[in-house]
Amino acid sequence: MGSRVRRPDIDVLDISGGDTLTVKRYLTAAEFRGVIKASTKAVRLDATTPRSDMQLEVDPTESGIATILAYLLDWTFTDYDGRPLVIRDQPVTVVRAALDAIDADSYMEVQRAIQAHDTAIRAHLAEEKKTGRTNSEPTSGSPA
Amino acid sequence: MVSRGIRGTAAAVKWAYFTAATVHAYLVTKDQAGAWSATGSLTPGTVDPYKLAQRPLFLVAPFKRGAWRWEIKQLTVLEGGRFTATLGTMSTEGTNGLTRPTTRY
Repeated sequence: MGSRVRRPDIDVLDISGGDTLTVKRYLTAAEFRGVIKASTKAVRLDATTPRSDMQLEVDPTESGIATILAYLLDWTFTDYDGRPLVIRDQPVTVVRAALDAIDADSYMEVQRAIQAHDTAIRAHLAEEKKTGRTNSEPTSGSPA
Repeated sequence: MVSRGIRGTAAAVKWAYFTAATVHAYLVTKDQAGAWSATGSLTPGTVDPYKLAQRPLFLVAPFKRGAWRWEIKQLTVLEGGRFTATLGTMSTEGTNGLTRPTTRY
Protein backbone atom coordinates (compact mmCIF):
# COMPACT_ATOMS: atom_id res chain seq x y z
CA MET A 1 0.00 0.00 0.00
CA GLY A 2 1.35 3.43 -0.87
CA SER A 3 1.34 6.48 1.32
CA ARG A 4 -1.80 8.58 1.35
CA VAL A 5 0.00 11.73 2.41
CA ARG A 6 2.38 13.79 0.32
CA ARG A 7 5.61 15.50 1.19
CA PRO A 8 5.09 19.27 1.11
CA ASP A 9 7.20 19.75 -2.02
CA ILE A 10 7.24 22.92 -4.05
CA ASP A 11 7.55 23.67 -7.74
CA VAL A 12 8.80 26.84 -9.37
CA LEU A 13 6.85 27.89 -12.45
CA ASP A 14 8.54 30.14 -14.99
CA ILE A 15 6.37 32.86 -16.48
CA SER A 16 7.08 35.82 -18.76
CA GLY A 17 9.63 38.52 -18.03
CA GLY A 18 11.87 36.17 -16.07
CA ASP A 19 9.39 36.05 -13.20
CA THR A 20 8.63 32.89 -11.29
CA LEU A 21 5.81 31.57 -9.16
CA THR A 22 6.56 29.22 -6.28
CA VAL A 23 3.66 26.84 -5.75
CA LYS A 24 2.74 23.81 -3.72
CA ARG A 25 3.15 20.63 -5.72
CA TYR A 26 0.03 19.05 -4.25
CA LEU A 27 -2.97 20.25 -2.30
CA THR A 28 -4.05 18.50 0.87
CA ALA A 29 -7.64 17.36 1.36
CA ALA A 30 -8.35 20.47 3.45
CA GLU A 31 -6.91 22.75 0.77
CA PHE A 32 -8.92 20.93 -1.91
CA ARG A 33 -12.10 21.34 0.13
CA GLY A 34 -11.26 25.01 0.55
CA VAL A 35 -11.05 25.47 -3.23
CA ILE A 36 -14.39 23.70 -3.74
CA LYS A 37 -16.06 25.72 -1.00
CA ALA A 38 -14.74 29.03 -2.30
CA SER A 39 -15.66 28.14 -5.89
CA THR A 40 -19.33 27.47 -5.31
CA LYS A 41 -22.25 29.56 -4.24
CA ALA A 42 -25.75 28.64 -3.20
CA VAL A 43 -28.38 29.73 -5.70
CA ARG A 44 -32.13 29.78 -5.50
CA LEU A 45 -33.97 28.72 -8.66
CA ASP A 46 -36.64 31.32 -7.99
CA ALA A 47 -38.03 33.32 -5.12
CA THR A 48 -40.29 30.47 -4.01
CA THR A 49 -37.49 27.90 -3.74
CA PRO A 50 -37.24 26.79 -0.13
CA ARG A 51 -33.84 27.23 1.52
CA SER A 52 -33.50 23.45 1.80
CA ASP A 53 -33.74 23.12 -2.00
CA MET A 54 -31.07 25.67 -2.87
CA GLN A 55 -28.52 24.41 -5.38
CA LEU A 56 -24.80 24.93 -5.62
CA GLU A 57 -23.42 26.66 -8.67
CA VAL A 58 -19.78 26.98 -9.67
CA ASP A 59 -18.54 30.56 -9.70
CA PRO A 60 -15.76 30.57 -12.35
CA THR A 61 -14.28 33.87 -11.14
CA GLU A 62 -13.97 32.73 -7.56
CA SER A 63 -12.84 29.29 -8.69
CA GLY A 64 -9.84 30.85 -10.43
CA ILE A 65 -8.69 32.91 -7.48
CA ALA A 66 -9.40 30.11 -5.00
CA THR A 67 -7.11 27.82 -7.00
CA ILE A 68 -4.40 30.48 -7.09
CA LEU A 69 -4.68 31.13 -3.35
CA ALA A 70 -4.51 27.42 -2.60
CA TYR A 71 -1.30 26.82 -4.56
CA LEU A 72 0.65 30.09 -4.56
CA LEU A 73 3.42 30.40 -1.97
CA ASP A 74 5.66 33.11 -3.39
CA TRP A 75 6.55 35.05 -6.50
CA THR A 76 9.23 37.40 -7.78
CA PHE A 77 6.87 40.30 -8.52
CA THR A 78 7.91 43.81 -7.56
CA ASP A 79 6.16 47.15 -7.53
CA TYR A 80 6.96 50.06 -9.86
CA ASP A 81 9.89 51.07 -7.59
CA GLY A 82 11.35 47.58 -7.66
CA ARG A 83 10.32 46.70 -4.11
CA PRO A 84 9.17 43.10 -3.66
CA LEU A 85 5.44 42.53 -3.44
CA VAL A 86 5.67 40.34 -0.37
CA ILE A 87 3.23 37.45 -0.24
CA ARG A 88 5.37 34.70 1.28
CA ASP A 89 4.00 33.57 4.66
CA GLN A 90 1.37 36.30 4.51
CA PRO A 91 -2.28 35.89 5.49
CA VAL A 92 -4.63 35.07 2.64
CA THR A 93 -6.09 38.59 2.79
CA VAL A 94 -2.64 40.05 2.02
CA VAL A 95 -2.04 37.61 -0.85
CA ARG A 96 -5.47 38.34 -2.28
CA ALA A 97 -4.88 42.08 -2.02
CA ALA A 98 -1.60 41.69 -3.92
CA LEU A 99 -3.36 39.62 -6.59
CA ASP A 100 -6.01 42.31 -6.84
CA ALA A 101 -3.34 45.00 -7.24
CA ILE A 102 -1.40 43.49 -10.16
CA ASP A 103 -2.55 44.30 -13.68
CA ALA A 104 -5.19 42.14 -15.33
CA ASP A 105 -2.82 40.56 -17.88
CA SER A 106 -0.44 39.51 -15.12
CA TYR A 107 -3.31 38.12 -13.10
CA MET A 108 -4.49 36.03 -16.04
CA GLU A 109 -0.94 34.79 -16.61
CA VAL A 110 -0.68 33.72 -12.96
CA GLN A 111 -4.05 32.00 -13.21
CA ARG A 112 -3.13 30.18 -16.43
CA ALA A 113 0.21 29.01 -15.03
CA ILE A 114 -1.34 27.68 -11.84
CA GLN A 115 -4.24 26.04 -13.63
CA ALA A 116 -1.76 24.32 -15.96
CA HIS A 117 0.17 23.13 -12.91
CA ASP A 118 -3.06 21.87 -11.32
CA THR A 119 -3.99 20.03 -14.52
CA ALA A 120 -0.54 18.45 -14.76
CA ILE A 121 -0.64 17.33 -11.14
CA ARG A 122 -4.13 15.85 -11.55
CA ALA A 123 -2.92 13.93 -14.61
CA HIS A 124 0.09 12.72 -12.63
CA LEU A 125 -2.14 11.55 -9.78
CA ALA A 126 -4.43 9.75 -12.23
CA GLU A 127 -1.41 8.05 -13.75
CA GLU A 128 -0.23 6.99 -10.30
CA LYS A 129 -3.62 5.47 -9.65
CA LYS A 130 -3.41 3.49 -12.86
CA THR A 131 0.10 2.22 -12.30
CA GLY A 132 -0.21 1.78 -8.55
CA ARG A 133 2.96 3.79 -7.91
CA THR A 134 2.48 6.53 -5.35
CA ASN A 135 4.70 9.45 -4.42
CA SER A 136 6.50 9.27 -7.74
CA GLU A 137 7.91 12.44 -9.19
CA PRO A 138 5.63 14.35 -11.55
CA THR A 139 7.11 15.26 -14.90
CA SER A 140 5.79 18.84 -14.90
CA GLY A 141 7.14 21.82 -13.04
CA SER A 142 10.65 22.45 -11.92
CA PRO A 143 11.22 21.08 -8.42
CA ALA A 144 13.03 23.52 -6.17
CA MET B 1 23.10 31.80 32.19
CA VAL B 2 21.22 33.71 29.49
CA SER B 3 23.31 36.06 27.39
CA ARG B 4 20.87 37.07 24.65
CA GLY B 5 17.16 36.87 23.98
CA ILE B 6 14.36 37.75 21.63
CA ARG B 7 10.87 38.31 22.92
CA GLY B 8 7.85 38.66 20.67
CA THR B 9 4.12 38.31 20.33
CA ALA B 10 3.76 36.70 16.90
CA ALA B 11 5.61 33.67 15.56
CA ALA B 12 4.83 30.33 14.02
CA VAL B 13 5.89 26.72 14.18
CA LYS B 14 6.35 25.72 10.56
CA TRP B 15 6.61 22.39 8.81
CA ALA B 16 7.82 23.14 5.29
CA TYR B 17 5.42 25.83 4.03
CA PHE B 18 2.66 24.79 6.43
CA THR B 19 1.97 26.50 9.71
CA ALA B 20 1.74 23.74 12.30
CA ALA B 21 0.75 26.25 14.99
CA THR B 22 0.89 29.95 15.56
CA VAL B 23 2.62 31.32 18.62
CA HIS B 24 1.20 34.36 20.35
CA ALA B 25 3.93 34.96 22.91
CA TYR B 26 7.45 33.67 22.98
CA LEU B 27 10.90 34.17 24.42
CA VAL B 28 13.94 32.82 22.64
CA THR B 29 17.17 32.82 24.57
CA LYS B 30 20.75 31.94 23.86
CA ASP B 31 22.93 30.73 26.67
CA GLN B 32 26.62 31.48 27.05
CA ALA B 33 27.50 28.19 25.41
CA GLY B 34 25.62 29.40 22.32
CA ALA B 35 22.62 27.11 22.60
CA TRP B 36 19.22 28.52 21.70
CA SER B 37 15.98 27.59 23.47
CA ALA B 38 12.42 28.91 23.43
CA THR B 39 9.37 29.10 25.61
CA GLY B 40 5.99 30.41 24.62
CA SER B 41 2.32 29.77 24.04
CA LEU B 42 0.63 28.19 21.05
CA THR B 43 -2.48 30.03 19.96
CA PRO B 44 -5.58 27.95 20.74
CA GLY B 45 -7.40 26.83 17.60
CA THR B 46 -4.34 27.12 15.37
CA VAL B 47 -2.61 23.88 16.32
CA ASP B 48 -2.62 21.19 13.65
CA PRO B 49 -1.64 17.97 15.47
CA TYR B 50 -0.65 16.16 12.28
CA LYS B 51 1.68 18.91 11.10
CA LEU B 52 3.07 19.42 14.60
CA ALA B 53 4.06 15.74 14.64
CA GLN B 54 6.08 16.08 11.42
CA ARG B 55 9.80 16.85 11.23
CA PRO B 56 11.69 19.01 10.72
CA LEU B 57 9.81 21.82 12.43
CA PHE B 58 11.02 25.41 12.53
CA LEU B 59 10.26 28.30 14.82
CA VAL B 60 9.84 31.35 12.61
CA ALA B 61 9.67 34.74 14.26
CA PRO B 62 8.97 37.59 11.86
CA PHE B 63 10.24 41.11 12.28
CA LYS B 64 9.60 44.15 10.13
CA ARG B 65 11.78 43.25 7.15
CA GLY B 66 12.40 39.57 7.63
CA ALA B 67 12.23 36.67 10.01
CA TRP B 68 14.42 34.69 12.33
CA ARG B 69 14.25 30.94 11.85
CA TRP B 70 15.47 28.14 14.07
CA GLU B 71 15.13 24.41 13.56
CA ILE B 72 13.30 22.91 16.51
CA LYS B 73 15.41 20.07 17.88
CA GLN B 74 13.01 19.12 20.63
CA LEU B 75 9.51 20.38 21.33
CA THR B 76 7.47 19.83 24.46
CA VAL B 77 3.90 21.09 24.50
CA LEU B 78 2.48 21.47 27.96
CA GLU B 79 -1.09 21.72 29.11
CA GLY B 80 -2.73 24.97 28.09
CA GLY B 81 -0.58 25.33 24.99
CA ARG B 82 2.61 26.43 26.73
CA PHE B 83 5.68 24.99 25.07
CA THR B 84 9.38 24.68 25.55
CA ALA B 85 11.78 23.96 22.72
CA THR B 86 15.42 23.27 22.18
CA LEU B 87 16.54 25.05 19.05
CA GLY B 88 19.30 24.70 16.50
CA THR B 89 21.21 27.59 15.01
CA MET B 90 19.41 30.76 13.99
CA SER B 91 19.16 31.91 10.40
CA THR B 92 17.72 35.17 9.16
CA GLU B 93 15.34 35.40 6.23
CA GLY B 94 15.00 38.42 3.99
CA THR B 95 11.97 40.56 3.36
CA ASN B 96 9.21 38.49 4.76
CA GLY B 97 6.74 40.21 6.90
CA LEU B 98 4.45 42.99 7.77
CA THR B 99 4.13 42.05 11.41
CA ARG B 100 5.37 44.25 14.21
CA PRO B 101 9.01 44.03 15.18
CA THR B 102 9.88 42.00 18.21
CA THR B 103 11.59 43.43 21.25
CA ARG B 104 15.23 42.48 21.64
CA TYR B 105 17.17 42.86 24.81
